Amino acid sequence: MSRVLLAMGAQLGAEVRTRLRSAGTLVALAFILVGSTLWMPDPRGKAASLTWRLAGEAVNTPMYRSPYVGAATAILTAVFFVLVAFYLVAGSVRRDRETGVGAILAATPLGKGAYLAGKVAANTAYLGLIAAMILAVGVGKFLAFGEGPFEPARFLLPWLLVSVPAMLFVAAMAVLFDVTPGLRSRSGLVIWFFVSMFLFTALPLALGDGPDASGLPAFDPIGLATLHVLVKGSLPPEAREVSIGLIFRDGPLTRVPWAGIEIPWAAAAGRAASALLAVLPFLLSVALFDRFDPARRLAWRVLRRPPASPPAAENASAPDGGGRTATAAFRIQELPAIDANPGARAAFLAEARLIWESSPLLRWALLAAGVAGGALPGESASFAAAAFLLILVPVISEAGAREALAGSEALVFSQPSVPLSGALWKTGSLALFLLAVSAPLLFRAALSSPARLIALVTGLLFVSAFASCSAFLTRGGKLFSGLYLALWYAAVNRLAAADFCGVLGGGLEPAVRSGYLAAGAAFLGLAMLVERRRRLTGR
Amino acid sequence: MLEIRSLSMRYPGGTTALSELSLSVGEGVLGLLGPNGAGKSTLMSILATVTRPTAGTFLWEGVDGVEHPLAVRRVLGYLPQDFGVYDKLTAREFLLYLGRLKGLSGAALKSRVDHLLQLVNLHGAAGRRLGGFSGGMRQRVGIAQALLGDPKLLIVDEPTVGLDPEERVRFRNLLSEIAHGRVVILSTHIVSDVEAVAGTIAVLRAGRLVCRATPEELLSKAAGRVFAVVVPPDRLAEVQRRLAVSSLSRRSDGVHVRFVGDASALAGAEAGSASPVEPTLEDAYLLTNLPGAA
Repeated sequence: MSRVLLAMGAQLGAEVRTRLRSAGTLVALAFILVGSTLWMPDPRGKAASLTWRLAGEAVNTPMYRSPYVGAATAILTAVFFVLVAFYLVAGSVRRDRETGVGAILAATPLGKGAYLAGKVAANTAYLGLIAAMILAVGVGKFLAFGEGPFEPARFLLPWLLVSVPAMLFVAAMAVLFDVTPGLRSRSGLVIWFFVSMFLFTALPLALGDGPDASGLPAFDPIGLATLHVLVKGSLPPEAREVSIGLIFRDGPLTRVPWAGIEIPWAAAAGRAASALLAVLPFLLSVALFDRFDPARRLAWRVLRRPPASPPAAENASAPDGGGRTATAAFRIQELPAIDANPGARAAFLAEARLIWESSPLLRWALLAAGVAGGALPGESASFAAAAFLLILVPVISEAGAREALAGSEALVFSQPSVPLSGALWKTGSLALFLLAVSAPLLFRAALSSPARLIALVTGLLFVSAFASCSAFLTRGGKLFSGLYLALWYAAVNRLAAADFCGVLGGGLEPAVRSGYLAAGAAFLGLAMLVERRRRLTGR
Repeated sequence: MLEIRSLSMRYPGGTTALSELSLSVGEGVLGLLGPNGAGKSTLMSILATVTRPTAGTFLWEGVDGVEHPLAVRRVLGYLPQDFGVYDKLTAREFLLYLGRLKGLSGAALKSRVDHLLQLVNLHGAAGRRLGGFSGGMRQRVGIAQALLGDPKLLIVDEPTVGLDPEERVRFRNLLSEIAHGRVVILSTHIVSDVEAVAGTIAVLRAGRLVCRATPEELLSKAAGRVFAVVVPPDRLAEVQRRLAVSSLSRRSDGVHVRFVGDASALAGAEAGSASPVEPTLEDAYLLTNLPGAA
């Protein structure tokens, strides 16, 4: 037992160190910076993250005291677990599989239960560290802007209520996605976004948002719905339009005293039950995990039969199809001469083609959505365009990191056609690919108005730079997937400025288009700077 | 054809991989030997224009390869020590992709890929995804891609790792053939590979060139400095501490030890019983690693 715990401890230490040194931690810090600015806004500003309205009165928000800042910290922590946490920890089993570390671990006495438990523990510890940073920032905000006494329990209890079950649950779900064929690929990152938004957020909010608003949700693994109910319960019964989301107002916000949320035993018990819920994905992971041996996969066992013995004549030749002689079929000098015309054009075309070839199934879905978006009438076209932009995620998210993920950097970047800037090459190739597969949408936009055409072209250029450079910088596709999906979600929910391609009814204004172009240029510039540094330092 | 001038590479954190390394390389195979961490792979990576040195440069037919890497890439075939492939592509698709990045296209590229797949004995697996390839098969794909563009400068880093004996022999023969009219730089720990194909050997240690010679010159330097002796098993640890042992085997009459260097390092009777033996290139290489050998 102690040996297993030691092994798990070693795994935990290595994983947490790896993650703390990864670009994901910078993303988490950026989230904390932006999130704390939004969810714990300067009390002198026009933004609030907890508001309600009383009959005939202005929008109320609590005074900047311990109860409010503590609750806002807990809400930000819940938002972190809904939107970001999974993307920070997903992929560790996949990484072990791809780097070959998994095969080494599989040859040790470490059982698959212990291995996966180590992964869950490492994910939990890392998420706990990030959640603790959010708590620290909350306390810092109070010290900077707060009034009244500092009440530690007002910070700690709501934060614990949310974070402990959420970190366990998300940690276990990340491992489940990692070991499940179909979910551990790039598509899994997209699927998680919807599972998290609808199954783990919208559904619990609906379950806890009954007419009397007093009942706690029976199912709330993340804890946002529980917080919502507790906030509602802390307000006067006549309070309406209670929101724990962001509110920006031109008019003044009325800051009123607020006693803060009370945590009844039922809520604590509910959260404890949510923590136990993490056992389910963990057990499912153990059942599904193949321990890096394809022959153990369920589908493999069911579908594959043992190969029949090859006939004697076939046995005489190598399994790779060649005769087993030390002499080649012909000599190298007999190879016909060949002329090469290296140039950037060849590299851009080859890379764009590879993006197409790397998604054998999704490319057809992407093409179909693009054609539908170009051909269907009215709202159906918007729906198809939204689907097109969504299917893009798994197709392009890792294109900028393909070499880093496969370990083919030296092979590819020593080729004569590849431009000296890999970031520029990746962005240009992706733009080429996107412009090609978006041809029906571009045609429709051109027929509609120049503004729409400009919006779509600038949007696609932005997506190219965003996808390729974020993947290039982080050596993976998770950052792009998470941020792009949040942007996409805002766009399909009719936030006009978030309509990055202008195909969902908004975002045509020159200022918006310039903003996306500038953001794309900034991504490219940053990637080229980092690339230069990597080249100079050999990293 | 290739002139390396005072190349230095210092990684962040202070590790010096190469220190003022200078070397001229002509047509044929240059075998690069050296212990782990000697700087071989860093040198290969710089010559392949993947890594930029912190100081110094190299010239390919008079053109500065650090300032003009594309000029080198046009004539380069490079097989890195560790390389990945795209598991979802077939061997043919992968080679076609890299061929396009070399500026090849059309039927000529397809024909070239098919020929190379035959050359490396993978024509029967050309349509299979690389994800299902064994280590040796992947290595052969790597060899094929290095030959795609008819390279004038071929840099191969540990190319025979993972190959079975037959494939190793096949590859060595291939290198010997391709070296005609070209520069081939072969880095390996397998001395017999170097012995079989290299016209010149360069030995690196701690980022510096410690020896450059033909195999014959190295062997002649080693003559009279390689010995065999039989020692009792309980003396083995002491012998290993004192001598550079190149091989040992336990037999009924004791432990048969082959060592390089000075037989006088052995104690009394053992020194008298040590007999000189014909050196191999491996012995000669070990001699270059002895203190003061350079």
